[in-house]
Amino acid sequence: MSSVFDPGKVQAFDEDSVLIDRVLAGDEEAFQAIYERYHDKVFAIARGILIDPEEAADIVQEIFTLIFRHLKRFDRRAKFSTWVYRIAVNRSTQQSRRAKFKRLFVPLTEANDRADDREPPMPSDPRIDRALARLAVQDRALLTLFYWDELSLQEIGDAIGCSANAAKTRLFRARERFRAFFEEEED
Amino acid sequence: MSIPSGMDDLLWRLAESADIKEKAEFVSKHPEYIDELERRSKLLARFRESTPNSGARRRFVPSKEVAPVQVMPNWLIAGVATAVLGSVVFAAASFVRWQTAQTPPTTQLEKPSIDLSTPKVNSPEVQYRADASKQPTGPDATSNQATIRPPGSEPTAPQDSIQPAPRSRWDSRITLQAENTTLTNAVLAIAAQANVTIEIAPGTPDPDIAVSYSNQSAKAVLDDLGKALGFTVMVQSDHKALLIPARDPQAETPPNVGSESVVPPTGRIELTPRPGKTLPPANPNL
Repeated sequence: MSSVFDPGKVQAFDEDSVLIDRVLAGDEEAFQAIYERYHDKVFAIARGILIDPEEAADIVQEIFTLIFRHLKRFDRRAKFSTWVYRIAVNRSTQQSRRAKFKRLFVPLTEANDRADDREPPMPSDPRIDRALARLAVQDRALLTLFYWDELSLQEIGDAIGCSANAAKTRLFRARERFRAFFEEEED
Repeated sequence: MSIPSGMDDLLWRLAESADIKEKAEFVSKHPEYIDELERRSKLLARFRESTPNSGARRRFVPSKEVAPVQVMPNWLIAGVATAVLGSVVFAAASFVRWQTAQTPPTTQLEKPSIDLSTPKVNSPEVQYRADASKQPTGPDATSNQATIRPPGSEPTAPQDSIQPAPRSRWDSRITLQAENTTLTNAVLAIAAQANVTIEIAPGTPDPDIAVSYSNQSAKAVLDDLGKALGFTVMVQSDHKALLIPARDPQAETPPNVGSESVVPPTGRIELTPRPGKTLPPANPNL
């Protein structure tokens, strides 16, 4: 699947390089273009891993902040999209684990600011969410990357740090577990 | 219903596929899996439909600093507590050990065993080495040498010599003042004061001498005597030395095992001739 020539991806790769060069040259508007290009996919990853859309939206901002700050470190040997997805998976996974131990003290004014400038998220499927919530974080990341972001197995492997074959095996098991949980849940 | 592994993979692939024709062909061949395929297709379709729409702001706003973690996980708390406790125990143990090391050890002088090796005529305790010309080369070499134990000479260290142990017994400070004595007696006195064993090899001269050394190291005094009387001091260990006759004029200092620093003595040594007294040659038959 990943070896098939995809002109769209090659074009995106070139556009990413141009945008990165512009950002590194000091053009902050170019980063806005990167943000808009990858926002939905990064949000899907965060949402699939964290389940909570509000928390996912906050983490997306942190993920793009990380990307912005560390853009100089991107060595261009891999695809920019892979680098972005890897950061998204790692940061969301970290947040998911930390959430068990962390108490966030958010000032009231800041919480109000957050609520004002965002459209309400699309209502999610509660049964899907409940089944996802019962999965391990890595399983949630795999299903999200494959079904929501529609990445290839090779891209998933690159994002989570394994081979395409390992990603395929893990995806198969994650899907079986998800199905079992989903069928246990009721609408 | 148990589904074979290969069929399971195929069912998932068909459920993910949008190819209606392929699905129809599969159902015609395997009508028993129609329901299973339908369930999986619905599941995946529903999952895909739930792809989130963030409805998010369309401007990138850099995040503020991530809020610090307020509560540490229990395992981390336990780990930190263990590390702190371990550090305290280690510090206490180190302190006790340091304090113990600061306490001066009890000085215990062992009774000196003086073996003076020198050939003495008519002495019942004299034993001669079979081959006096050979130099001692091994640990057993000294066993064949002449040994003399002067009767009633149970040397005791002078009271004023009880001081913190020097680096080597050969560095022990001795005072030696005698008129009309022999080299053997002088060596005996040195050995007693320095708490060492000195063996005198056969052939070593034993003239009558007058010596005067004050607060000199035992090794330095011996070396000085050796220079004056023609013998060499072979230090074999921290507490044992061998005096051998003759002295290599080319050699600066003989091998020095036990003593690291020898202070040149400032004492006095005089030969006091005693006619008629000569050392007998070594007797190979004994």
